Amino acid sequence: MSQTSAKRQPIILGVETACDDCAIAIARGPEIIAHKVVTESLMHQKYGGIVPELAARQQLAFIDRLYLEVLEEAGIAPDDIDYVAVNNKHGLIRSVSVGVAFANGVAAGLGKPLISVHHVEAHLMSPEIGSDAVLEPSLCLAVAGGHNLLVDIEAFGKYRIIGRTLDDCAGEAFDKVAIELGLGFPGGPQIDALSKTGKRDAFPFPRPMIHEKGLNFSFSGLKTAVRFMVQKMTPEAVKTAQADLAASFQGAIVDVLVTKSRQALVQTGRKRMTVAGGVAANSELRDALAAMCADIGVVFQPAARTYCGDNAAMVAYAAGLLLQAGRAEMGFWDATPSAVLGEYRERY
Amino acid sequence: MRKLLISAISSRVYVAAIQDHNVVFLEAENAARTTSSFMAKHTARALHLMGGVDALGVLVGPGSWTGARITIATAKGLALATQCPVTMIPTHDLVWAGRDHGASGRVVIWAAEREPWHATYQNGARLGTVDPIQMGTWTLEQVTEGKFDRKTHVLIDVGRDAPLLEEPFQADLLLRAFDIATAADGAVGADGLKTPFMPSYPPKQ
Repeated sequence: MSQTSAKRQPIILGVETACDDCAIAIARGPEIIAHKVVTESLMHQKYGGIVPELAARQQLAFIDRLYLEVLEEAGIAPDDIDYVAVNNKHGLIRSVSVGVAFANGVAAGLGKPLISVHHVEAHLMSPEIGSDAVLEPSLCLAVAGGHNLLVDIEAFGKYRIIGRTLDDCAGEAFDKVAIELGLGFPGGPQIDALSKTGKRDAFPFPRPMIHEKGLNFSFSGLKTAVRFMVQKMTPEAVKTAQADLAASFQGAIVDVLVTKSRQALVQTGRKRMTVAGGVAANSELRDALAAMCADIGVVFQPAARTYCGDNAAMVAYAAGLLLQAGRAEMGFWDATPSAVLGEYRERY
Repeated sequence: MRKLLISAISSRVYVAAIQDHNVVFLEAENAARTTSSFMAKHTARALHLMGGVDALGVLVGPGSWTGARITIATAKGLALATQCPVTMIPTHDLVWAGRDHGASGRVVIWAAEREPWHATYQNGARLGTVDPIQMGTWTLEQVTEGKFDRKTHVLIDVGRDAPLLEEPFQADLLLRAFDIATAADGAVGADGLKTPFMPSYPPKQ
């Protein structure tokens, strides 16, 4: 994002409650000055995944405290806020509606404008946080538990989805396989850590659609393959081979994501690649994408790990970009969790 | 004294503003999927009209779970932004405020299957808090017949499928409920705002 003039940068309060996270952030122009995320993973662990009703209840319980903590950390008073921004366009409807209602209340109470932000657009822009560079045309791999996309970014707001999952997202596969391996929820960080001590070729898991010409993904078969493998083994054998199973599964996912990203770069001719979303925090994926990009002379810009999972910093940041671009939608909002993305009105 | 009252626990969304005992603003609509924006838009209008607010009143249920959640989340944002105390108004108080049953009575409302809550009223005031009725394996009728003497108390059972209130209701009804709740429970800050009547998860069998 280009630096604007010396005039005072707007202070933007960001609110994000797309899934099980509850997040608040403050940005001053492009700079994130405070952000916090609360996730109640333990509560969801006993159900083996996110329970939307429980997630929304927890978000409602936390959100006011989080707001006060973030304001204190940022060292600003409520009256200093120029804009409120909220993701109202993607996520679980009960969760999104908590963040939207809270943001509506703050904006109405302060008498400040409320900017509508699309969760996926915020993720797409998250690798740019902290970068002073002008946003260049890029390919973005946006990979998380709720979306798994290859997006050709012509410019801010101009997105073409050129690849998407046909069934499960990679993040969802990580969570389900972690449960199969007895690692609990959420699975991504645990499989990532365990894989470091395992052999990625120990189990011959499939690389779904890796040889297909298209850029779509499919991870449900891989998830099932792990399940069938585990069912054939004794619990003791699974425990012994836990690291190898994790590394082999992660290797399969990374191979597919990197191969498809490479195909997409060749197809689009983009010379810059970004990666965003919760799975973008995975070490093997980051290393493999960096190596692939270096190999073909493409600049690689991953989102900082702190902005990979759902967070409100990216919402506040995207709102700043929307203001700059003159396409910020302001008003009071409802949760509309399958809204179109960008000027090309992409659906996914 | 400028009061703002909001509710989405029934089939309509309400935003009412009362200034020095006069109703200066009332908007109500069967908003459904636009509950949140409707509530915020008219709240902003009411705040502008009154030039601020001194007390918030929030209907917290039992009633529509989604409506209660949206109302409470909005109220948290409003309370933090305006530094205003909030009165949590249970639906019981609204039901009692809308009926003329004499000096004393009880209101029982289902929050969910096998999760009824009751409150006792005397001379227009609520006595104590709104409390859950522990049903165990009993039916509600068995419980209420044991607990409450229908000869001396008016008992209003509001079942899950029964209409909660005759709508649309007026702002003075909301104000009476606000006064009952404030007298019984006092006001809280944003951090004290809760969803006291959300049903158990997983649901009770």
